[in-house]
Amino acid sequence: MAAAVLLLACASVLAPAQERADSQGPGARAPAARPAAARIAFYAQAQTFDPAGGGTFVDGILQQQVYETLVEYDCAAGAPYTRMRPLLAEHWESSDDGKLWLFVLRDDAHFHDPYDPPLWPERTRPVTAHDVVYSWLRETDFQSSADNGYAFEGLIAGLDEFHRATAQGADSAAAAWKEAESRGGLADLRALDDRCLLVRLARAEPSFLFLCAESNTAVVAREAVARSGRNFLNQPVGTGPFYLAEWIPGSQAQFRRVSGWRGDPSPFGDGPLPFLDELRVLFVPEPSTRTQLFEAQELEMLSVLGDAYGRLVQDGRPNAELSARGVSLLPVLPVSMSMITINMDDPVLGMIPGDEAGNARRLKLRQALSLAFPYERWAQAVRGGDWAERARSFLPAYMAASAACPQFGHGVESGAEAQRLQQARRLLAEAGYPEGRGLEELVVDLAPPDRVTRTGGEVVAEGWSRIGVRVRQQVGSWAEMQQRTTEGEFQMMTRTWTMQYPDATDLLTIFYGGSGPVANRGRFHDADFDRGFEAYQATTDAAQRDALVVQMVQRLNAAVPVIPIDFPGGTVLLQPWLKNVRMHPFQPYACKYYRIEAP
Amino acid sequence: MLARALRRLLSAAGLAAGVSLILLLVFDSGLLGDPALIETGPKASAQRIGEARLRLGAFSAYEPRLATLHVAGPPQRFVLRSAGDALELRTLDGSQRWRVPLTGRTVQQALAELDGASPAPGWRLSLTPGPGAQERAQAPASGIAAALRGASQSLDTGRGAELAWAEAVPAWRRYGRRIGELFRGDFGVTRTGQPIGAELWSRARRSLALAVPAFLLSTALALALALWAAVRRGWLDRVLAVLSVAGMSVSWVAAIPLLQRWLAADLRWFPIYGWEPPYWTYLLLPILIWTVLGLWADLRFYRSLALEELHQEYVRNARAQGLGGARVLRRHVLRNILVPVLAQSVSALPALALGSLLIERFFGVPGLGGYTVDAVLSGDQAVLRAVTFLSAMCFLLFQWLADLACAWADPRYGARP
Repeated sequence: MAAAVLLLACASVLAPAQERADSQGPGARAPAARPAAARIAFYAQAQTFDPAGGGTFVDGILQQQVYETLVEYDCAAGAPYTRMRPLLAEHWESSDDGKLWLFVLRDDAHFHDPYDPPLWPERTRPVTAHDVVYSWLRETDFQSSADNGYAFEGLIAGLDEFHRATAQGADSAAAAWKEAESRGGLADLRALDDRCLLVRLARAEPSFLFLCAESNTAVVAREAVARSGRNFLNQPVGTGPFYLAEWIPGSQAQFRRVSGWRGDPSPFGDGPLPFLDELRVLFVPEPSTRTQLFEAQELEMLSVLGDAYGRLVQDGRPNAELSARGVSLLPVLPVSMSMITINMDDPVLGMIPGDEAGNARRLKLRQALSLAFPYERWAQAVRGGDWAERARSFLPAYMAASAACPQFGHGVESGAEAQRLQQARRLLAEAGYPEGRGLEELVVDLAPPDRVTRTGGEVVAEGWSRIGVRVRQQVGSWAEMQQRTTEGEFQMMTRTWTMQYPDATDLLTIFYGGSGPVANRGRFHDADFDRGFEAYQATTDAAQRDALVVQMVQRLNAAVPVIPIDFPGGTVLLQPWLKNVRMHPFQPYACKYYRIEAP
Repeated sequence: MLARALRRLLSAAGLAAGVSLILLLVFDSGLLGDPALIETGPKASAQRIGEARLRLGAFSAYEPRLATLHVAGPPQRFVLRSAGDALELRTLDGSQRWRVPLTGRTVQQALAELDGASPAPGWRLSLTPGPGAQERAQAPASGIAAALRGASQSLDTGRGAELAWAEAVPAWRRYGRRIGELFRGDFGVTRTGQPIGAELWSRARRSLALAVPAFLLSTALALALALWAAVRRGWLDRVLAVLSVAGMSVSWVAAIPLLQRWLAADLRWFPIYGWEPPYWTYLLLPILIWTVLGLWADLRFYRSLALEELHQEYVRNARAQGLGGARVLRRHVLRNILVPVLAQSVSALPALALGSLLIERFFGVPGLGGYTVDAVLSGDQAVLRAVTFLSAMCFLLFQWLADLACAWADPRYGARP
């Protein structure tokens, strides 16, 4: 009986097209004879289409198909991947001190509204500098943003005060908005006219343009926010080449080409963008299912992870079967760094102000641990292959300053394992612990409690046991570790830091004393490093910046607040008919460039 | 019957109270970790953590910039942390501790005490007031400790520590509000602001569209095969016994991708993955796999029930009186095993609403199973709380329905207290 009731209740789900949000959008053009459609898959789900919605990495990628930012990364350019291209901004200028920025917006960028009833006649409206001010304020507003934090925190004068006012309650937020709107923005963030945007920074920030390419700074239309209210995260109205035709959370998102889009020229010189009529993004959590879909040619692109790597990739190339079908391989450059962070407040390993003799001994202990770290074993057991770049410095190899940075390893040839171990034993003895005698069992916090984490812990323990150091692994949930380490109640922890943009400060910020206990979890406080960091942020001269990075890395090498392990990257397989794919490390899925070429 | 229904309903209400208590322990006691820390992630500042607590309802007010605390003296590093309703400053080795009790004081009084104080011989504290010091001057000073909870700071002679202020909402009050909201059907929003209630409903429908046909098919098939095996015995019974043991031994995690590869990717009889109209085409293979993998345990259980009934004296008597085998099966055996079959099947129904986590993941059915797994992975406690509450309520409802169904099928069952 109950089952019959349930059957009736669920029967409605089989009725077709209930969830299809596709209406007569701007892309509702007559079907092409052979629509160019591409299908890609992600392991994680999309959660929001609101740029201010605090979404994930996948949300950012999907939002970039619909929304646009002032600038974007130049996907056609190679290392160091810092070159930017105009997007909504036609061009920009900055003052010599790097604090004053003027953006001039292009005059052919329009919002496209695919929903009924449409907001504007012809479903479009030009983008103005006022929209940029509104979008950035909205992203900063505590009440309207689901995110904790905002893009230009501490960077634009008045923005922090605006944020603080909006966090004091709805009345305070309304007053802050009223004041901002009456003045056409903030004193340091305002529209001079419909096309000119003026931004004054509190300091010269080397990553400012990169921040202007982040999806959370994308430009939204005030009318669309007002119309959709809380549902705005499901009804994106952007200026990009695609519009969201359908989104089934937990299953897929489908994008269609905006009819009559302005048609920017392709950086590859093969015509106006976009080339795709349709883009379908599947959310497929199981790697085996993704692999099956790719092998059945139901996906144009496959990100190869974990166990599938050994089967699909051989000797750095697609396996014989895939190669015969013309499948190609693209490496995905790393944007994150794995490391073991040492609590510098720890009495056994840390740096205690005023205790110079003790600090010298503890430094030797940290150096010994870093030299005895089992890099080769880690690469085999944890990475399971060759898809991670070993950390020879604190920056990945493609970063501009990386080549000039001193290599990690305290003067020992990083490849010579036996030599490294010998020196580690010597340093350990000099620290007062010959063969590890007298040294208490060290504790490494690990999370989450999965197979890879446990394997990593075993590899570390085994590696350090070679010099007589005993290690206890404390495996817990990510939340437990987060709580313990934020409180400073740990000795060492494994950590992966994901970079947001291709600038050394992104990574080096975790060592800056002013970063607070969450980012600077190791509680590293070094006056020289901090001075270097602040000088780096204050200068616009590229050569000087590189020199400061080298100087900061030298300080880190000397103090060993972390043991860098590797920069895990990735691999992507491509079907032979998909062209123009560039895996820019900070804008990897630029689907508007993708082109389907008939075999 | 009505009295029994009411009695069971009352006991279900008691269980619901128990469930809500468990929800308190799991979600509001911090057992799963501080949701603010999980939400803000590794790049958070102390201010972001405080604002996340404000957003999550752990704070009702938050002032990030109360004052900056400095220390002067010989090189030394202190840890500044909250200790109950007091501020504690201790050296790294813990040899020296200094506490400032905050209870019963205002922010102004507490800041005045900190400014110029000496936490240990040779060291002196000083304060630089922030924009919030004036605004919160008369607020209770215990808010300084509340803001520092879970995010202690280092303070040394070269660098100050930021003092913030917060009005904490007690866990029991948060719990009461949330339980009230859940019972009113208000499930709140996800971390990114998606309404949970609407999503739960649409996902439950999809889970049921997958689970109910699979469940009915599997139960009917298991019952039919069990009766057949019990009546025929011999080689058929032995073959089904071997198949049952094999079927129960196979891991679903291994079997699902294998069958998916064979039937969908290799033979192309079904779509591999997806969810779009016509939806039923995407449900066929998951239902088939669920039916095939799920029937064996039921088959063994039903077979032993049927065998037990077939050996009862009344069955032999009925046969001796000339009743046909089919009629005996239908009117006597089947009817008598119906109570345990119903009890077992109906109590399995709540799990159906959650669908099969595995099957939904492998085939892309956007049901409740995937929703739950994603919430676990992203640490979205609002979703987890709602799903836990919903499944507990479903369990109670279906237990009640199972009880009524059994009483209806066998009046003797209903006569028992």
